[in-house]
Amino acid sequence: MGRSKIIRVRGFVTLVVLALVLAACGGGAEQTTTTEAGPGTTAATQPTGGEGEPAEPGGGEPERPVIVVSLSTDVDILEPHTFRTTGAYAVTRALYQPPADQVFVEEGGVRVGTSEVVPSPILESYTVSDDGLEATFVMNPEATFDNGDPITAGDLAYTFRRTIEGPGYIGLLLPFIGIESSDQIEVVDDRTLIIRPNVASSLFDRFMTFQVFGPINQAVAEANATPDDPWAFEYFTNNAVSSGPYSLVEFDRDRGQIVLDPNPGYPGEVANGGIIVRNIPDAEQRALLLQRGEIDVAVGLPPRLLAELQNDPNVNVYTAPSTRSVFLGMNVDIAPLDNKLVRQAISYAIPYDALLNQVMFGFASPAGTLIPSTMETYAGDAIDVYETNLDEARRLLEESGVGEFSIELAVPQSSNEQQQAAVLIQDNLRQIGIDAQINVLPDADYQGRRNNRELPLFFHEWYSWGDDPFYQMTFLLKCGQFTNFANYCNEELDQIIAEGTFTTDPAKRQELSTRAQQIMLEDAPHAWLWAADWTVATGKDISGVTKDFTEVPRFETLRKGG
Amino acid sequence: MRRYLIKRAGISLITMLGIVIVVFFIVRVLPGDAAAVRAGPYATAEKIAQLRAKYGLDRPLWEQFVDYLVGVVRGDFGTSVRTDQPVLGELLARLPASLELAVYAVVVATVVGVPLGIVAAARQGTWIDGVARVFAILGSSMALFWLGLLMIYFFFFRLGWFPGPVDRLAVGTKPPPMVTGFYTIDGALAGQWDIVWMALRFLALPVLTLGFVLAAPILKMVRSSVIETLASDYVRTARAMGVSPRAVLFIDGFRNALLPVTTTIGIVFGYMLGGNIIVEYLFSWPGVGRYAYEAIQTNDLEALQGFVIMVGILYVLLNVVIDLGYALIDPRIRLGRKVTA
Repeated sequence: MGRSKIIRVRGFVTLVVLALVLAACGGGAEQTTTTEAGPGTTAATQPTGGEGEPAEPGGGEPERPVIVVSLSTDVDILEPHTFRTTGAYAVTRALYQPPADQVFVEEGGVRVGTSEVVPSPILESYTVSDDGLEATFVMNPEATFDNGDPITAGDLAYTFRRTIEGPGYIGLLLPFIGIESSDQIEVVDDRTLIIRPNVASSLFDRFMTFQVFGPINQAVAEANATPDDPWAFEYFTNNAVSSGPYSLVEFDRDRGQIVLDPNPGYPGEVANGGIIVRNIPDAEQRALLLQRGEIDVAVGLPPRLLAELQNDPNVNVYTAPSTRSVFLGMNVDIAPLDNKLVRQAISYAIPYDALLNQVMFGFASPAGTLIPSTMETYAGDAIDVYETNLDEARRLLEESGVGEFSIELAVPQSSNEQQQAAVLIQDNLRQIGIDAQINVLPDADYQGRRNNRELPLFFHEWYSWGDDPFYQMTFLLKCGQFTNFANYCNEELDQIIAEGTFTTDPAKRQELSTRAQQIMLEDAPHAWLWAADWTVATGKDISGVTKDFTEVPRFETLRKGG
Repeated sequence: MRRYLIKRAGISLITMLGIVIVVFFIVRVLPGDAAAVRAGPYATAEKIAQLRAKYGLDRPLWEQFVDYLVGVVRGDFGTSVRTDQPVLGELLARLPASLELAVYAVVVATVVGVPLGIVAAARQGTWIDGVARVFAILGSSMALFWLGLLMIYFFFFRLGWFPGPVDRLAVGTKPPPMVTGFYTIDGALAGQWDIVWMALRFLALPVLTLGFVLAAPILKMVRSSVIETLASDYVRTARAMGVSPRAVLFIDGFRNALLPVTTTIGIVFGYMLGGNIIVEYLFSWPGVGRYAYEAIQTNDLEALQGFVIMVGILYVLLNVVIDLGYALIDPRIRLGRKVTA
């Protein structure tokens, strides 16, 4: 190699090193760029300060900053009746405004949703007859989709019919509110819709706050329908015509970025200038980005990180009790768990306090039963819930006649908390003579084996959208139910669930629920570990954090700065 | 040359067919039910059965394979059960992000590894050699995940020198008009130097993380190859004839060591072509590695096998390019003929 070649190599190396050094020395001053604006939307917004620091939107009254939110998952699809990830759950809520909304109360700096409902901004009125058999929806004439089309009673009726007749999974919810057929839905005129449930249900009002009943633009749907896809699911997988607080400006699945602008046709209030949703898959990085102010809101952080963030002066950690239940399922068809005494022994062996403090770092409440202590009708002092008692556990195991045994304890790979809990549970079970073999499975494998009822001991986390005890029991304890992974069955409990679901008298509901809790404690198909708190971490300058009782993140109330 | 290319193309096609066969059947024996994943965690058995029929998962395996093979030949890698989108389109959309990361990482690894290896070989046994060997050991033994975490913690979180691990550009920034998919090049082509600058800053930490680890095998290979050639008879002869030490090192030593070094760089680059799952996950890098991670997590079989097949095909093509490159490096090699000593 000649001298000139060596000089060229040296020059190249020098250039690369210089470039890296310069890159490192670069300051916060970045250029202004603009994201693509969608039809009928205001211009979005871009960084002027440091990287990741959204700028003020152009024009308008007091300028409201854009807020950057990072959710715990990506957004798989935008289709409101078949989405699966929690990221999609949040974004579809921003794009589809349900007919009713919750009444919120302020608790500890958080707007907490109650079970009382009011018409949402897209409705002028919403009334249910005294007998609960007729619900009337009158549309707000000022409400439009983001493409300018008025939101009519026909659109709302189309949406309900789509949930009944379409291929999505929302149809599963309808029996709880007495809807079985499209014949129960009547469009009186452009503004008025009547639904006639075939049975009164205490859940009807709550369900009307679910985003899955947010109006879909019928004209757009029909224009994009095909013979194979008559409800235009394919179109709405990647597109949205919004009836909600935001318009979809950008859905970049490849980059994991969604840009939402306030919807000019939405008659309600939007407290910010728009939302950018970023998928940051690693929770540790999400927390670091929040601490450095590169994102404003982080959802889905594990308790350990939340405990650390509580000490950071630049971060607010909001928490509220929740009914999100985590339990250890025991498959009653797999020996020796088919023996009730063995299940009771395991329930007594669980280190409940250690789980709350060492695994959940205090971000949880005791569960007690499948109706956790944080849920309406929890029986409290009227029942004896399981507490850690290894002597009693040993006695029950001895009484069962089963003796010492080994058993698989399955844990999904994605849950650090459940893996930590498994280790603590394993230790206590060993002390009573049960050798629990922890098996950490990839999520898909875990889910498949659990669905096939192949797992003897397994973890399960559940949150009921309806936040209702009988809804919760229907899915997790009713005989033959597809989500009853413990294969538990008790006829008396089934009767209670059936009666309670359609009982509106609070005293009767309490009585039924208490009896149900006594039965489940006696039969012990699960060991109820904790009720995880609802949590969200934000920058110090973020306010307006809302806990919807469906626990869907609500973007429109978030405010940045004064 | 033509005969060699035809033969090489034939071998490559057979290799690719082998890749498709192996990947298809391996993916099928993975645990988990793709239809159940698509249906969601709370789907009824009927719903899962419907989806199984829709995606053809209820048909005999050989029928599924024939359909898949025909599809691959036509450029149809199937549909992702997670996103309902064509797999090939999703992979191609993400590939430039991985390639850009790979190219810069390999460049950094080469720029660090080759000179350090040459110097270490020339000064064998000195402190410089010691430093190089410590560097090689650290690079070989340090877990990428750990190194990435350290990089982010110190250079982003503590010092604030580099941007956070959010993407290839700052949150909300519009990418430059697509030409190559490399933001640094597309930005330059569009005259958006601010974007080029931002893209370089976002590349820095993942590139340095990968470059540090990838430099180790290159350094080791350069060092050992150069030491070996410097100990050869022809180098001793050159020295005896009074050729300058620098010329001996670079012309006789390094040039003759280039073949194994090129192979190593090729292997390293091939490894990177698959996208680096860990680094892409850690840095929220929207490449094919992260796509594969999501596919594994959700048992998205079509996406997963599409990823593996695409990487396999790229690897085969890369090997062809490396083989052709040998002829340029070593004039003794004439493709299509036997090399005689």
